Amino acid sequence: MREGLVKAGNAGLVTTTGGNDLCHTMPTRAAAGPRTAKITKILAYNNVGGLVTLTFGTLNRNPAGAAFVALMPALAVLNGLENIWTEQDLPAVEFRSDETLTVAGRTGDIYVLAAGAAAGVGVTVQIEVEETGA
Amino acid sequence: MSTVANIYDNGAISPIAKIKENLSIWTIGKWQHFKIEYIEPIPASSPLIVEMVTTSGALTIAANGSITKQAVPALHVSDLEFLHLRWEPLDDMEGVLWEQAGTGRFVTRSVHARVNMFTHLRDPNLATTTFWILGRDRDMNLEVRNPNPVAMPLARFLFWGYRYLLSPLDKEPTPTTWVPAEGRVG
Repeated sequence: MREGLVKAGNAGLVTTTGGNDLCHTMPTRAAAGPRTAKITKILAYNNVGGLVTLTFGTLNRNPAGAAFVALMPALAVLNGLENIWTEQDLPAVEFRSDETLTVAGRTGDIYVLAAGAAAGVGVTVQIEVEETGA
Repeated sequence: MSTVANIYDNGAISPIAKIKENLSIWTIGKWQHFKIEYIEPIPASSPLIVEMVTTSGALTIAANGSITKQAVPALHVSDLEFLHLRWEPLDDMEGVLWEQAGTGRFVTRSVHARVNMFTHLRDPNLATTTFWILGRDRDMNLEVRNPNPVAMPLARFLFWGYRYLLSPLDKEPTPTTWVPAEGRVG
């Protein structure tokens, strides 16, 4: 198993209300190598009054405008409970930059997309990532 | 476990010679020779944490930014004192070592390697971070780079190792331990 650097998503505590919201920006190729990352923990609290789904992914590099790309299936976030997923629950999806300037390109930055039910109050989300590099 | 290590042994840091043994140290462009009169450990501890953002007079280190190389006062020594150190960052920062402000340490023809939080993952005892400081005004300089695309408020580096007190010798002793205390080009 590779060893990496475990840290909190550098966007900190995120309140997501229905758009795609940034959780972690990847170190750039020029600054650090580059690095890649996988999510090792997700902690979410939902107080909107009903179930909300969260989907984690990244943005593509579409020259006409970046769009969200899901990299994991939606997670159901129950209302009024803390919702926790750990490394054992999550697939080892590696977030990495792909510099291709088409819809196939990826920024590699980690975003969360909440279902519309999150509008208003929002769902608070904190992730933990493991970066791999040198 | 040996009590006297080779200079870059990959175990935990140990003195590279015993008291009353000899050292031949590369510094100021030549080999100088000494006898060891005293050795004491410098444990990893809070006085040996150097926080470079504060040292540089800033409040943060910018996203993908750097802190210009500067001497580290915590590691100043007097003449005939010799520090044998290892180090690591406590934050997700990269340290670039200069011995004398203009001579890079850990360099190849085209690359100046850095010490970061990944270093200890591949080198658990941080043996590859080993360096030395001999005498007054022969300071190391530390440059810091932030690999993160966000500004960071802290850039802490921790140092530890051994302090030797030396007496000078006029000529090359036998036997001796050869120590490259400064970077060397060619």
